Amino acid sequence: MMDKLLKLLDKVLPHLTIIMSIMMLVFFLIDRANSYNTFMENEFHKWLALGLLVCGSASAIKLIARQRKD
Amino acid sequence: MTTQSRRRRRKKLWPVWALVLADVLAAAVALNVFALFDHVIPRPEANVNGAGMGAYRTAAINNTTPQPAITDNLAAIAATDTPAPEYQALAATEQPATEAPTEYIAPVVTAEPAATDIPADAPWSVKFADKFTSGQPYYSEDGYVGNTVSVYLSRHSEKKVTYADKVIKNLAYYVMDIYVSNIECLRTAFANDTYGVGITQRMSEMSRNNAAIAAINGDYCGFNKEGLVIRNGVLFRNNIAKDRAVLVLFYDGTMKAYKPDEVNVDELLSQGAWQAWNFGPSLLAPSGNAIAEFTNNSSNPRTIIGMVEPGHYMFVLIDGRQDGYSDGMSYVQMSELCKRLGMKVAYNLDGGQTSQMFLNGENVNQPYNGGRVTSDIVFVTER
Repeated sequence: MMDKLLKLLDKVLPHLTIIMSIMMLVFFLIDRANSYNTFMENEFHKWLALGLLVCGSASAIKLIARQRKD
Repeated sequence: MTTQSRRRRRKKLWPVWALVLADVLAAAVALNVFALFDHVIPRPEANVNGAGMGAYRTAAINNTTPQPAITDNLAAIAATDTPAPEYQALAATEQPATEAPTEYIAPVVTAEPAATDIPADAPWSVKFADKFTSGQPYYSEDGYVGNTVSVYLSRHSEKKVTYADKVIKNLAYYVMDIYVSNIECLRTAFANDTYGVGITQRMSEMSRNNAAIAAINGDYCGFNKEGLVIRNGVLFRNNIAKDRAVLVLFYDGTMKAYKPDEVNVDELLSQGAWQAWNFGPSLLAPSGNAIAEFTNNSSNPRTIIGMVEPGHYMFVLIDGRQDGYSDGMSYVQMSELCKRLGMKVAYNLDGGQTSQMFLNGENVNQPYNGGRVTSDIVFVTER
């Protein structure tokens, strides 16, 4: 069960990281073009940043663990 | 599982580019869902005092039900604003219109009191008596003269004109010189008469529904949840948008621009804040002089509200993004224009495609891409 979950995480994590990174990038660019949109200050953006941090860290930890194994 | 079947399974894997493309598409879908919930789906909200806009308006018009705290403050301020006995006779000659306005034909001929006879603190109905009519209001495509409001519209079309040391190839702008006899003539309205996020309406409809004589777009406060919103004396939203100046129109007719960190909402309300916008920037220095530097230098269609003196205001609309007709203006150029027009306070409202101006229900300017729906307007009407 745990193995299956880890495998699923292994597959999903990089995609989630890419998706959230693209969303953050879009928010950043729109905010630079017109700061009145306040996308960077909005509540959703804060949760998105948290999600990206968690996914990014988890992906990095998994990668380090794999490198050590190899 | 045999090696062969493992190979077959490997062959079925998506190529990397397809996986990345799928991720990009997923991100696009997620962004659209976010935009849908954050901007598109209307979300009506209550004001900070807990009373709706409709209730406030009904109470204000009928003056029968108890008002929220802020309107008590305003009522107290208004009570002290009664004309002194020597002015009451003059003011009494001005009766509200009972008939529909007629087409303007004759020029305004009113006895103009000598400037020295009128103290600076005289009621506006006396101070600007020559701007109003005591008879039937009249209007034309260039303005309106009524019992409590007058609007003079001037249209400007210039070529290769220099503002702030920069040449503008084509420039079209419109100036409304506005006089009101009391501050309640300068009002604001929300789309569909409802405060909230994502609630929008055509300005022509908002203008018509509110019997607006002259109207411009507001600060599009319903675009998101950021920014201070005080409208017609009611506090609707109590947060200050980061890095954006606040403009407050007080019940005594004064107008003041604040930096975001200077704003104390309770203090503003106790001083009788009648309207507050949170877009900006402020276009003139506190001294009334033009500002030489802004962080944004792009030229766009713009909407400006300004004050010459209490009771005397200006709406300015600058068309832009239209080759051969009008390029628009940058903030520094707008600042110089406002100074030239004689404003003491000037403030930038929402611009771009939102920038629109209406007079007697007719669109005055040539909005970029035909204009768009917005969440609020600023207008003058008879009161």
